[in-house]
Amino acid sequence: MSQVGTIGWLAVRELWISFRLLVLLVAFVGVGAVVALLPAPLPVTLGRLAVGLAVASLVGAAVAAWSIAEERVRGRAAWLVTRSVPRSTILGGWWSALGITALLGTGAAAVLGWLAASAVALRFPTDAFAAIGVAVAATALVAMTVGLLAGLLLPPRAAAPVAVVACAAIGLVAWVVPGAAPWAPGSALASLAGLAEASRPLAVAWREAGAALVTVAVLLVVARGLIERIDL
Amino acid sequence: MLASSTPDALWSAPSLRVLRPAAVDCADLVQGRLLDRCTFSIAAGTRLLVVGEPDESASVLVRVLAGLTRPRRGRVSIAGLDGPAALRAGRVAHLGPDPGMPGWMTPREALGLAADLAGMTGQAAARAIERVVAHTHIPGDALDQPIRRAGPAVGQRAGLAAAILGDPEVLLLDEPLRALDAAERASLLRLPGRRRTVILASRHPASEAGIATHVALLRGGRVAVLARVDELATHGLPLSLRGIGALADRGAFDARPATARPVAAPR
Repeated sequence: MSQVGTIGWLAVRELWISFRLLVLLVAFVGVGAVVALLPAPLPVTLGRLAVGLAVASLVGAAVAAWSIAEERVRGRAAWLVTRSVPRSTILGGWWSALGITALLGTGAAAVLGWLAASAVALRFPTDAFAAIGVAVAATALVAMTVGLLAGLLLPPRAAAPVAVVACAAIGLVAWVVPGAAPWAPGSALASLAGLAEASRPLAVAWREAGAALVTVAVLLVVARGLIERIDL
Repeated sequence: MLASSTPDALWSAPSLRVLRPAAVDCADLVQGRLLDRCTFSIAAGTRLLVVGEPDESASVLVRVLAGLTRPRRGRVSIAGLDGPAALRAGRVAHLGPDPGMPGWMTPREALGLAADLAGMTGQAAARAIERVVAHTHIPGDALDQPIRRAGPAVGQRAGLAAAILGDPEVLLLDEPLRALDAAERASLLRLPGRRRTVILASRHPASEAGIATHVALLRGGRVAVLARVDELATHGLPLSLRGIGALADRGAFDARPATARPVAAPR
């Protein structure tokens, strides 16, 4: 197994043993379950799914921030660094573990949401819903990466709330700043809520997914630069 | 019995004994107020006890050498490589006051992971783990208990075992094994291998008797003195912060290490 794989697996075990993995999965899958169990008209169902996934992403950001900050503070990251593990590999391992969890959670919530939505709509745009699902998953990755950045800079108790506030602020840009959507991360959630009335949802969804992934890439470059400089 | 990565037989070769290669060489290290153009060089095989005024400067020096704290300025060379390269090559290991292993891991799992990360596999890894477990006296029944449950003493033994598993040339210790009693701690820290270099940061120098061959005092962020331990006895001074400080005050040694480089050699 590569070192990133080894660190990723360690991160998953750490998340599992500290119940943080459970919190993450419950946050994402719970949203889908609630939407599936409470039948409502299509716009309401999609609105609930969007709000729920936004909250789950914020939970993901807090978990990511807390986790990486605790790795630093408790000296576990230092233990790995003195075992010849590059600092960027620790970042990569944690990002992979949290990212895969977020993708699986978003996927499960989307499947449950699709079951609920397709049951109440005669002609449900499955292809557009799938594309928006990809964009929402990319948005969840943005939240995780913001959380990691906060965790690299701050102690656990400060990192988690700061990550939540930062992600909420980034998400609000899509609503508040005119013309920011579909380029602002978070606009995918608005698109998901408005899918029932959208005119060209597929094109918008791909643009939103691309914008979110570019944001993730930029944040990861910043995080990599940061982890090379901080004290462990 | 642990072996040094450069066998003692090779170390006893006349050329190496004459050359005494530098194991740790750092120049002009600056880190906040605790290191101020700190410069020193020690030969392979030296067991150096570092104390600081203020206390935390010795810890910071060890953390900088281990690559855990980035110096604002300066250069570190360990076993012939620059700091990060020496870390990657496994020539240096570090053990702090907290061993840093996940508490849910058992010592066996932690040592397996350390062996895996050091690139050891199969029988070689099993033999190395067996060797370090024997050296650190980890009780057999504690090997498969989570470190959190087995207690701090087992955790610290496992930390030392993981640190020496890859047989590093330079071992950096920062207040290690404080959960053990003094006699056992001293016995574990007397690591075999004449070429192995140890730098030990301590706030309680009196408890390090018999472990170090040399002492150094960081004062105002610089090396104020770097001398053999027996120089203290020669001057009638105790192995304590006050004693080492008095040795520095007597000026028997070069007190300008930022420009001159005191090179100590093992006895």
